[in-house]
Amino acid sequence: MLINTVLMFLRELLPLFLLLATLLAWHSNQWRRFTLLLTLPAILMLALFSSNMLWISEQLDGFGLELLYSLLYAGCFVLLCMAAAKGVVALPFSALACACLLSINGSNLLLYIWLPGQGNADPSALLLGMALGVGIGSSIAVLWYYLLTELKQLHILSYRLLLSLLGVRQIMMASALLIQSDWLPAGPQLWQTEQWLPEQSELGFFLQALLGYEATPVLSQGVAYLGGLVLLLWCSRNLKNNRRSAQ
Amino acid sequence: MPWQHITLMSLALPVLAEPMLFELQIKDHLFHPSVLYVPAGEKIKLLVLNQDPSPEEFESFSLNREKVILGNSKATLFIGPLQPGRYQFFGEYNPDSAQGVLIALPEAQWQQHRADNAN
Repeated sequence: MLINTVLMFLRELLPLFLLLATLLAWHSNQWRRFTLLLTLPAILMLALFSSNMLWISEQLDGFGLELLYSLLYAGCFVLLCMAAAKGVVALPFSALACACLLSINGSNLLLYIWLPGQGNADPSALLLGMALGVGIGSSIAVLWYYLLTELKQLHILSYRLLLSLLGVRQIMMASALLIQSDWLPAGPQLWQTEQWLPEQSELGFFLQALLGYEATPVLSQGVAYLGGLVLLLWCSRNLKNNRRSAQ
Repeated sequence: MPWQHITLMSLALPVLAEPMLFELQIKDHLFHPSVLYVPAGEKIKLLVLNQDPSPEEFESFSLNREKVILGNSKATLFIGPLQPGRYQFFGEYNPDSAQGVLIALPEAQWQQHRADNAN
């Protein structure tokens, strides 16, 4: 129970914390406004989705949740592109992008915490697991934040690349959901790296949260990934200028 | 273009075959069957029936699939076409008990498996 809860929390929170740390490093001088802009839409979406989870999941032949999550992942990516391209809207759009991801991962966590079966489980194990999961996730995010803060000062291209990888990870997640719902043709498998780097290994886990690592990606995912990466890198080409103008 | 031509052209289009349907049940946090045989090289439709009151998340790293199935409900997901081989899956909310494997069989073995099951 304890280990499962830690893993569950880490799996849901790490991608969110990495994105949050990356965007906070970008908007470090406006973090209070960023937090305010993030909190309200995140709470609203979280409340809306969590309270209607059953209804949503039954829509579109049982693929309602997949469609909603894919829209949110894609929305997160589009908002990041717009934020990177237009300095004026960078802060609210970054906060909204983060809110999209928070609403997905938060809904999954709320579902897990309030599982009907959890009532019989040891609450201390659940609480300790939650604390450990949040603790480990936030520790990694803090390190990530300081790394990016330094990187942003020294080498903006590296920062842009990491931001783009985090952004395009959301496209990878959206495409996987669309493929399993049969709304996107999968195409042939591109490669198989399960033996060298399993997704369930520590590094695979981290790379999945950071850049959407898949051990067995398919053609449509590869195309979407490359297209998304180029687009976000291109959108963020004036990022340094945006930051200066914001300051 | 005359309407007759359009009708004839549409008739000539290949008919997309409905993927084969396979069923998996979750009961007492266990998958039934825990070993599921499917044909390799074909897209399949997997129907997961959760008979427990609590939700479960069907998760498979090797299949690239994850899907939440709420308590006492069902969910569908499409898988493949798969290479012949073994693909582990588990219930993310109860990974210690809810475990299973999907085995994709090559054409000849799949036909043999079907024949054996029919007898």
